[in-house]
Amino acid sequence: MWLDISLTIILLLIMLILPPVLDGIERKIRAKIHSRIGPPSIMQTWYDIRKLFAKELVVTDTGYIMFFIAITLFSMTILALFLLPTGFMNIFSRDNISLLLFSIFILAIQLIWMLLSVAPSNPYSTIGVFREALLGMVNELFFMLGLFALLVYVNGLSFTHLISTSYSITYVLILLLLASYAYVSSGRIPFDIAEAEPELASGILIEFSGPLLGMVLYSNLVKRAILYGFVANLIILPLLGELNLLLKILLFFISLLIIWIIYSVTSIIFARTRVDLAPKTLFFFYLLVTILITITWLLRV
Amino acid sequence: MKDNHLKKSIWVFHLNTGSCNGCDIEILDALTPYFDVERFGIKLVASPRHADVVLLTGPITVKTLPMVINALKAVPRPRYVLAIGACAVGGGIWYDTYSVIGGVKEFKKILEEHGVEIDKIVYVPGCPARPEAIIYGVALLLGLVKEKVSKEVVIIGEGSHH
Ligand code: SF4
Repeated sequence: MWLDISLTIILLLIMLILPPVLDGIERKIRAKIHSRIGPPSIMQTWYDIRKLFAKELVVTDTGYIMFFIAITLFSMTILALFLLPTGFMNIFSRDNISLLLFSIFILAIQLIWMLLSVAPSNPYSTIGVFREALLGMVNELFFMLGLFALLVYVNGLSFTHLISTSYSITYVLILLLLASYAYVSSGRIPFDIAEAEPELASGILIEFSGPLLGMVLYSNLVKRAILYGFVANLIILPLLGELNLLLKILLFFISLLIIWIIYSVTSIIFARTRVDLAPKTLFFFYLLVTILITITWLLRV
Repeated sequence: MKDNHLKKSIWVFHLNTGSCNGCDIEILDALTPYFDVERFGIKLVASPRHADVVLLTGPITVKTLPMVINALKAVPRPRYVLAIGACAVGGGIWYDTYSVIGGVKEFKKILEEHGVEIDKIVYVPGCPARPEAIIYGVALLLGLVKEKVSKEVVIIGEGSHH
C-alpha cells in the first residue's frame, strides 16, 4: 500500500518535470536536422518557463477571465495526468472507470483551450480559435468514435482492461486512429492552423504574458506528454504481461520518448497546409480508418 | 527582478518603426539557421507580450509613434530595447526631417510622458547593422559580454549636419 502511494507520487513528479525536458530534446533534434547547434541544453524550455514566471504580468481588460480559465486548464491537465498509467497502474488509474474519465478530461482540456483563446477578445486569437474549432470538430468526433471502439474492444472502462487485451488488426487500426488524434490535437504541423499565418504567428496565445503565458505553455507541454503517454500505454500495456515492475516503468518512459521523437520528426518533415484543406484531409483519413475498423471488426480479425 | 533568468532565455520581438527594410533584412538574417541564435537561447516571438527584448529598427516616424508606444507598453517588464541601425540610434539621415520625432532622446521623453519605462537600451549602429553586431548587441544587453566603449557623449552643435 505504502509502496503504491510513494511510487505514484514519485512517478507523478517525474511526469511533471519531464515534458519541458522532452521538448528540449525535441528542439535539439530539430536543430540537428537543420544542421545547427540549437539550444544550449535540453533544459532550455525549463529556462524559458522559469523566465516567464519571473516576468511582469500584462493583461487585457479580460485579464481576470483569462487567468481563471488558465488555472482551470492547468488543474484539468494535472488531473488527467493523475489518471495516466506510467507502466505502473497508479492508485488513480486502477479505478473502474479511469479510461473513460481520462478521455473526458482530454476532451475537456481541448474545450478549455478554445475558451482560453476567445477570452482575450483579440481578433487574431479569435480567428485562430475558429480555425481550431473547425479542425476540432473533425478531430474530436473521430476521437469519440475511436474511443468507443476501444472501450468495446477492451470490454471495460478502465486502463487495467488494456493489460488483458490482445493485439489484432482491429486493435492496430484503433491505435492508428487514436495516435493520429494525439498528433493532431497536440497542434503539430500541418495541424497548427491556428498559427499558420505570420500575423497569427503566436496564434491563440497572442495576448498572454509573463507567468500566465508560462503556465499555459507548461500546461500545453504536459498535455502533449499526456496524449503521447496515452498512445504509449495503448501500445505497451497489452505487451507487458508479467514483467518486472521497474522494467515496465522503464519501458513506458522509453516508449514515451520514442513517440515524442517520432512525432516531432514527422512534424518537421511536413509542410504547412491550407486552412480549409487540413480538416478535409483529416476527415477523409479518419473516415477511411473508421470504415476499416468496422470491416475488420465484422470480420473478427 | 532576477536578470540572470533572462540570460538563459531571451525572446525577441521585431518592431519596424519606418525603416527602409535594410536593417530588418539583417535581423531576419541573424535569425536564420546560419547564425543559429537559438544557441544563446534567443527566440523570435510574434507578440510583444511574449517579448523580453524589442529589436527596434527605423527612425520612429510620427505615423508609427502611437503604435510603437502601444507595442512597448505591451512588453512585460523588464523590457529591453535594442536600437538597430543608424536610423534607430539617432535618426540617421532623417534625424531632423519633418516626419520623424528626432532620435531616441526625444523618444525617451515621449515614453516617459506615457509612463512607459525602458529598463535598458543598447545601440547597434550601422547602415544596415550587421547580423553579428545585432547578436553582439543582445549579448551586451544582457551582460553576457563586456562593454568595450566608454559612455562619454559628444554633442555636436544644434542644427549642424553630418
Ligand atoms: S540604418 Fe540604414 S539600413 Fe537601417 S533602416 Fe536606416 S537607412 Fe535603412
